[in-house]
Amino acid sequence: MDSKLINKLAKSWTFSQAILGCVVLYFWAEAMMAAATRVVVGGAPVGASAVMFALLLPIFWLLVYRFYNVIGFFRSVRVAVVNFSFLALGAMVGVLIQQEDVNQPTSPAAVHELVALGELTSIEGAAASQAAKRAYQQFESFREAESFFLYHLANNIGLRWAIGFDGAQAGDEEQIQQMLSNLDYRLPEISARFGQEKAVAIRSQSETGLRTRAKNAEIRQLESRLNDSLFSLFVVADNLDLRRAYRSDWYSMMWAILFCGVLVSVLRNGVSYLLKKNKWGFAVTHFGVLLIITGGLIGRTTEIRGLVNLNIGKYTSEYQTWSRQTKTFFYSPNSAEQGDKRFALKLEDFRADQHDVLDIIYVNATEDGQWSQEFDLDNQPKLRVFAGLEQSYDYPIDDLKGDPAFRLEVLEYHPQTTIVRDDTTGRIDSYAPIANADFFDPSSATIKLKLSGLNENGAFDSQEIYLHAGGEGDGIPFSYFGPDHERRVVWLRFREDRDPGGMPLEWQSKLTILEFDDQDKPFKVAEGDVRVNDYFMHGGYRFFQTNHNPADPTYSGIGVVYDPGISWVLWGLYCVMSATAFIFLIMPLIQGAKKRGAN
Amino acid sequence: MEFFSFRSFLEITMRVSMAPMVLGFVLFVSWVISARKGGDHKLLTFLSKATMSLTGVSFLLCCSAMALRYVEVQHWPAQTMYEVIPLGVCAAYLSTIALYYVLGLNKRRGVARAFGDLFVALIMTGGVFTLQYVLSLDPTGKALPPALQSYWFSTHITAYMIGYFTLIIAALAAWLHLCFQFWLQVIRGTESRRVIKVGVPALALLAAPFGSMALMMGFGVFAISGAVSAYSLRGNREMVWYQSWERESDNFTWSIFVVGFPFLTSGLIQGALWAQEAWANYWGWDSKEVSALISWFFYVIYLHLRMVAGWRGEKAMMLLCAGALSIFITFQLFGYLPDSQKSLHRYTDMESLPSESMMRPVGEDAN
Repeated sequence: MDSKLINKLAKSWTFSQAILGCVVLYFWAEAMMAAATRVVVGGAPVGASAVMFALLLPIFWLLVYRFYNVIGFFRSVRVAVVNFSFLALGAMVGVLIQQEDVNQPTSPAAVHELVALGELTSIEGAAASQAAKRAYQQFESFREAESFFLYHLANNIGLRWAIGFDGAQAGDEEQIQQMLSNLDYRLPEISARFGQEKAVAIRSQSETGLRTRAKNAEIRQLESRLNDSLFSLFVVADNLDLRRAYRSDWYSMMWAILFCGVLVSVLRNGVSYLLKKNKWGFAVTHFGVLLIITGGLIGRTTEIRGLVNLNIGKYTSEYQTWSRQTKTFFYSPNSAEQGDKRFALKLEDFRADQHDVLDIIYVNATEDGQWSQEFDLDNQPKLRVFAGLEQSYDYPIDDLKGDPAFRLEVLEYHPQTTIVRDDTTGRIDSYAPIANADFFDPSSATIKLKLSGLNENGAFDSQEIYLHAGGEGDGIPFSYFGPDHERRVVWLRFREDRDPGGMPLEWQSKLTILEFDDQDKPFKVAEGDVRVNDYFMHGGYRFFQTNHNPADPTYSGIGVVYDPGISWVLWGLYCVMSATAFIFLIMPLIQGAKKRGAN
Repeated sequence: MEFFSFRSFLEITMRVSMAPMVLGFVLFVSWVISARKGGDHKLLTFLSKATMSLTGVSFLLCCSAMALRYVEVQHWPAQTMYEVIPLGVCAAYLSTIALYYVLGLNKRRGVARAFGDLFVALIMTGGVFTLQYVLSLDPTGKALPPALQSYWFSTHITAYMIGYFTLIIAALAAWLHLCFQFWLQVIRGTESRRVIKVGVPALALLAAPFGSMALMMGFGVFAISGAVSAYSLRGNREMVWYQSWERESDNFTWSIFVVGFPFLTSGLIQGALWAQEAWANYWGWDSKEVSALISWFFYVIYLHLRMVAGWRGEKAMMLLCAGALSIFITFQLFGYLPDSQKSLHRYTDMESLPSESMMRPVGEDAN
């Protein structure tokens, strides 16, 4: 190839020509794919075929008669920069326009039906199809997200008036200040008892929470004000594929231009050019980009994603795809034919391991002999427990840097233990950590706790106790005298944290792969454990931990992915990362060292 | 409050960081005033070196704070903004120290140190105000959800923090140069370049809605540079202290970019590798990922324009400033973007529920 001519042609592209060239190609991709879809689906095959032919004709002409110009176009750095800018702009569109849920695509017919229904503020009671109702739900989510964004944008740039709100801040500022001053009155005592961090946390969460509540009320108002405008935006965004920007044909064309540009740049001076030492970094980075785009393309055309719902001891050879199709585990899922071997997935064991926590609840004795919480906190303090944890409580209220009146220290913590309790007192007599415990062993943790509190003479009394987290957990009261010489009682409870909204420490599944003999009897061919961040692979499928159900401890949701493009992409990512570090960090260091050596 | 706690060390770091901040500004003013007198200014040079030593002390204190937080929460302290932002400040201080040597600021003599002192003072100002902001955030330490329990958690976020803050420093260096160039043109009435004349006020305006920090570093720096330029150029004088910087600013900002860009790339790619391990999905088009990708695109464009198309000087520096704005949006304003509402990266946000029972009028019972 005449590289001088190509370079000359590449340099001849101006920015405006590059923009025009790229935009024409994006439109071409949209038109081409629309025609191709019609040919495949069969709506208007003759007309669509003619359009396809008409669209392909100029491409063939360019490739045959203007080949060097085509190469020059892709070689041009201005085209590359323009295409990069459009890729960034496309990504910005994707961030600014709420994207469609891939699992629940909106059909164009459903959106047209909504348009035909006219202005709506709710789909309730409207004579609409199920598809249109689902589309309306997506609009509601879209309206909420866009209003949220517009509200904060207008507030940040001081344009509240432009979205129809008076005043500088949301909500009744006087009321908010009153509530915060009520809180501030109580905070010194919280600070003294639980430490400054707890007080700062309550203050920060409360102020943010109050203001968020007031803001949310205004956002709801804005949603109803902008309902019609946002509906128009929703329809336009849907028609132009802006709601599915990253899956649109115009965005794919941007990646295709990038691929061609990188390919031409890499090969412009032949392979020997790339073997020069100072070109290694360039070659590996750009080769990595090519691998990533190729892997992405393979993934887009062959990828299958789904979920297997399993209970302990059960197996299945079927899974649900994201698009709610039921599929069978075949070794060649995209070209499965009669006789292709299938396999099944069996859940041998599953466990969700919870965090072990220690509740610290100050209590008062009530007149009827019961305990009541001393502090009316919405969330009583709880500590995540680990060996060596030390905490101090109850500082003098007028000297927060003074000595605390109560200290606790976790002397030992064993996550899986067996215990022996005293039959009469229920206290732990002895315990033993389970040696080499398996993750799936459900035994609970035990801690050895040292508690120290001031006595009435102002000296510290200490005691050591054992608490076990099994069942509802173990709880004990501990009494001491505060810096004000008043008796305090603190209730300590060690338990597994199953509070609503919490997450387990970890969940893990033990899986086996089964194949079937001639009599359709299953036999084991492979086994593996999956946990989040550690998947198990078999036959090109990747299995990873996705779900669990606190109400059903035998259930495990296993994600399934079949994507032959992944390894391409991974190699590409490693290439780009290592070559970038080589070019910008390692090479300059080597060169600097050489220079110093020469001097 | 315990002395050996994260919070306590953050407060100390903030106070200690004020020293190089104040010293840097005082030195800069001293250099500007004494610029015409000549001489080797031994005292000023000594103090200028001391500024960097104090920056080193601030860095060590910030590192100690992070180590204490590690002990407190028992995982890499990067889950909430209360932890991530100080990690970023640490990265910024580390970058400042590294750049001080990479850019050869340590070897400068006399008035040529002025710009370096201003530069360090501005970074430390950012550090002080950022830490002050952090101390008002919810300090609750949280358990890591299973998805975050990965070795990528520490390396991915740390690489991003070094990349982000180094590239923000690059933008700050570029911005300082652009501001002084603007005022030189205005005051001297020299040849007027549109990229400066229109671009600089436009960038200052563009940054204004991004919060008080952006306002301070945007309009604040713009205004202060105007005042300093007016003083330095009074009566047809020259900005002697600015001359060496003016010559080298393009290389200077490029060198900072060269340090930051590999970390940004590494952070982005490590995120993809991590997602691949967690969900067998290297790229989910999550809005946080996309926002980070947009920032990366800005820098890739800058890289190609500079290396292949030969862009140098102010035009390229404008891109660095735009890249920093994009980073700021990704890092701090991402939660407001429409598509972020269903992002998997929202677990870094704090839950903010008002403590209702503690806000009842005083004396009113719970029941």
